[in-house]
Amino acid sequence: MKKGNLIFAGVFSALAIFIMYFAMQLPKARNGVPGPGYWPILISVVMLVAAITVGIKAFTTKDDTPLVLGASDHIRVYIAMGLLIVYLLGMYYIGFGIATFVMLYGFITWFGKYTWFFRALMAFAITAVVYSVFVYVLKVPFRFGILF
Amino acid sequence: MKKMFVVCMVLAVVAGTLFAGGATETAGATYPNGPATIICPYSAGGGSDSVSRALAAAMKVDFPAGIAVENRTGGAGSVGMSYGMHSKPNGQIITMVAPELVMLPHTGTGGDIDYKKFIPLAIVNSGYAAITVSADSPYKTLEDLLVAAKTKDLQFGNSGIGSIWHLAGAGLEQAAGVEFTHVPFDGSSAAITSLLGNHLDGVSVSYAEVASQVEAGALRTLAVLAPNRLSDYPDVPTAGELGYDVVIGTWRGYCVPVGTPQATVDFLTASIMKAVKTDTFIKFMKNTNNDIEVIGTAAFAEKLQREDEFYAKLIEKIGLAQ
Amino acid sequence: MIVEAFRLVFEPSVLLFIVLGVASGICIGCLPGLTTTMGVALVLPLTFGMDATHSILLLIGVYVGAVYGGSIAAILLNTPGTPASAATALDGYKMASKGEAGRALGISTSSSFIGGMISCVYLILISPILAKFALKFSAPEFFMLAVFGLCIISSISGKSMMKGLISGALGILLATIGIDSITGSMRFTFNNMNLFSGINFIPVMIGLFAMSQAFIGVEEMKQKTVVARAITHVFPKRSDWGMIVKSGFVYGTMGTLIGCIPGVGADIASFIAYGQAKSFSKHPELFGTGLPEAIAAPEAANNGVTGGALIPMLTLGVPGDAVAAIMIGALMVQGLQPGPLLFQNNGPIVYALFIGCFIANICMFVLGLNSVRLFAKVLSVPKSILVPTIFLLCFVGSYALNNSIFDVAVMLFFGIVGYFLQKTEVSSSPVILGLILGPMAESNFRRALLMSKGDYSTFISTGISITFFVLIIISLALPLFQKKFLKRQI
Repeated sequence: MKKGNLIFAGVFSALAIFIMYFAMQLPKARNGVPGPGYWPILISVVMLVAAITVGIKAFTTKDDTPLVLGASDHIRVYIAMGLLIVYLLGMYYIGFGIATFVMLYGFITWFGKYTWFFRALMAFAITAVVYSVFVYVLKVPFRFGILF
Repeated sequence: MKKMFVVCMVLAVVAGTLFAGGATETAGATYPNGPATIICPYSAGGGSDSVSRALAAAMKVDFPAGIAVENRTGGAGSVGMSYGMHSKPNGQIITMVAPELVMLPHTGTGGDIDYKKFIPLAIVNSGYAAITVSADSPYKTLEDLLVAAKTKDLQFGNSGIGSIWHLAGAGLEQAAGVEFTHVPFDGSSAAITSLLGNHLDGVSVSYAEVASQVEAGALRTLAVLAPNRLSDYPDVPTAGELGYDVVIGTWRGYCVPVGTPQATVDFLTASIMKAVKTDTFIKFMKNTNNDIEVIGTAAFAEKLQREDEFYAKLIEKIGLAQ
Repeated sequence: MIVEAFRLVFEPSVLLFIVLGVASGICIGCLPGLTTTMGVALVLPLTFGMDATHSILLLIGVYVGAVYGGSIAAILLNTPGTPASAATALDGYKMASKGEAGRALGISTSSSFIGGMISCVYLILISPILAKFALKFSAPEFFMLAVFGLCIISSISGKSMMKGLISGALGILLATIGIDSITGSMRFTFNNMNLFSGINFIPVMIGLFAMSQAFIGVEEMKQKTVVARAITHVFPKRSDWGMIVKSGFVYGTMGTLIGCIPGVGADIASFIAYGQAKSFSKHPELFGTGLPEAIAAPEAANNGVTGGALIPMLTLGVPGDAVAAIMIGALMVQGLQPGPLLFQNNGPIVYALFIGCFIANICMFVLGLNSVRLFAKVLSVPKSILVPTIFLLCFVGSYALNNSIFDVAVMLFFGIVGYFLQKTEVSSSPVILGLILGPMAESNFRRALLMSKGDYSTFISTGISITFFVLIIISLALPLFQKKFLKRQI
């Protein structure tokens, strides 16, 4: 975890400093009422101090369990994340129905061991149920994309 | 693998046509050739939402394929109004607009919304600001309040910074030459609650929102910032009668984007005009404390232009302009 | 009058509407992204054509059902269906992963029931007193309440307090995005219109909990699920009942009190209850490992809010939370004016509403216990199908909230962030707590100073704010004492 904690501390210290930099440019206090920058600066100071503490602790403690982020199990997660971003774009530009069917079919194929017919059926059924419930019962408009 | 791909594509297409069947426009040249949607830029369950839904229900007779209300909230209404402004000008998307359309651009919080990019149809409802104090407040008339404001620091609650009710308080301030401390809350009801708890000197929200408290004797309305006395409450004077020329209120109007065919605009305007005369709509509006005030296309367009100039000046004066 | 009220309620169609309301409420609450407010708002247009009793009791049914329903998904999938059950997920999912899903669901159902019933009793007996108490809250009191709530970060930060603090701060900072509520200046909006009114916290919650949990599912896809999750003991065991009844009373009362304060809702109540349950527990170190009282406390509190939120609505005509605001609209459509005159003018309807609240809670209990097996079927769905389905539900859920594709992108972003937070052993709950309480703390802090002309003594000027001040000190100091005490014992 040592390396993980150091990265974690680094990321959040940077974020805190970034927010402080932006908050400094906001208008100042008026008539004793703190301005819009006061609160974000206060909270980022807390965040910075906590992040530095985590960083120092990471240095001083002996390393126990290493943080693994590169095993095949993790690579699978990263690919899934990427595919979901593609799905989001597909949903927006192509259309909800087709993108969803393809997404479900793809993931079920990848994760499971079923016949192609079962996979297609599942993907179709889930898409149909979710679409019907949200569009017809909950009246949520899925109007995007060039196709359906 | 290839077989799977083919099957998958076929099924997708089948699914597509199956679902799309429900949504495709029934072919035809004359409007309405499909379902219409009213975009309500405020949240479901609120006043704007319920008025829009009641209007949609009353307009249903003219829309065989249905007319629905869709909420797209955010940015004090700018998100929904912008969505409606950028929609296709085919009459399928009708946008509910409020004074925020001509206020937000001046405070720099309106994104890209611009009233000139809308064709106004009609206004159906308006509600004016009411200067309201607690029932046990020492101020019995507007004059008392404004005289006290010259020497004391009066705290006025409103529904949010730069909101219409903030501007109402500020408008009165300008007209009377006094200064209040404006305390912004998240919405009118939070301000009213705070007034009920005697944490404020007054509120400048709409009469409809304080009506039940005034009737119950918990609050007292000193004046309304309306052109005429309110029919529900004729005892309360208007600010104009008392010598302060200030009329500020909210309204709910409906618009379509610029470029919509004239025939469609006429059809929609006629449909709205017909809907506001139905008994169910009138009863609904009465029950929900909303006053019907119908303003037609031409007067609506004029009102937009006039209020745009008015709010530009007011917002500049109170230092909210960006 | 009361006889008339009974006659109004005990009509078959009214009873059917309550059952339908509760059932649909449970389903809505279960799905991440469909919040209680949204559920009630969805049903509202349907009530326009009904009479007053049918309409208000249907809405109450949905309300009660949805507040409870969120806990089912929280326990079974670590995916709080509504923000109100985010605190339940902490221990509920842990207990379910130990193979005791049935027990967890049983505890949550019965403590929700008791919490809800208690709040109905308060609603009927002492609502005028509670309403007066609620009106005493002004900006300084709200600020102190919010800070008191934020102290709970220390209870829910998991292994590392510092990391919890960072994640809480992240939540508070995320909440500062948007137009500043006091001065109207833009903060961190980068001229993106979608950010003007801030980041909606529901998509963030769906991302951090549901989406990141689904990513964990992808990671563990190749592992065999070890625990056979048979659903047994849905009806709580006798040994659990003592604790359930006690938590139900204590935290149901607390929920009612919090619920009657305008603007403070079930989400805050459940976190505060969790924090308090931990502070007063004999073994606080076991919180977060699947402790029964850690499930009972937040569930009793969030259903306690349901009755509490109706108090200011019925007695003062001001909404106690977003749901009550919608109900006020529903009553007005019926020609009833909520407020001080409602009791005088429409007594039977008010009593019918009271009776309806009890029936809705009983209904929730019966439906809850019986449908648990049905819901638990979710666990027998193979991961390879369940995980993609959760992906899909996260997408449509966050879209449905506001019909906004931007919200979906926010959800996905926080899903990815949430996965890495889990990997670095950072608890995500403080982010949610920060998002909920941050804006309340900040705007009331500055509003209080605006009203007091910059005088900081306003924060300890009234009885309520001093009480909170003391409570804050106690809740921060108590864990330290407990540690010392425990060490001495060992």
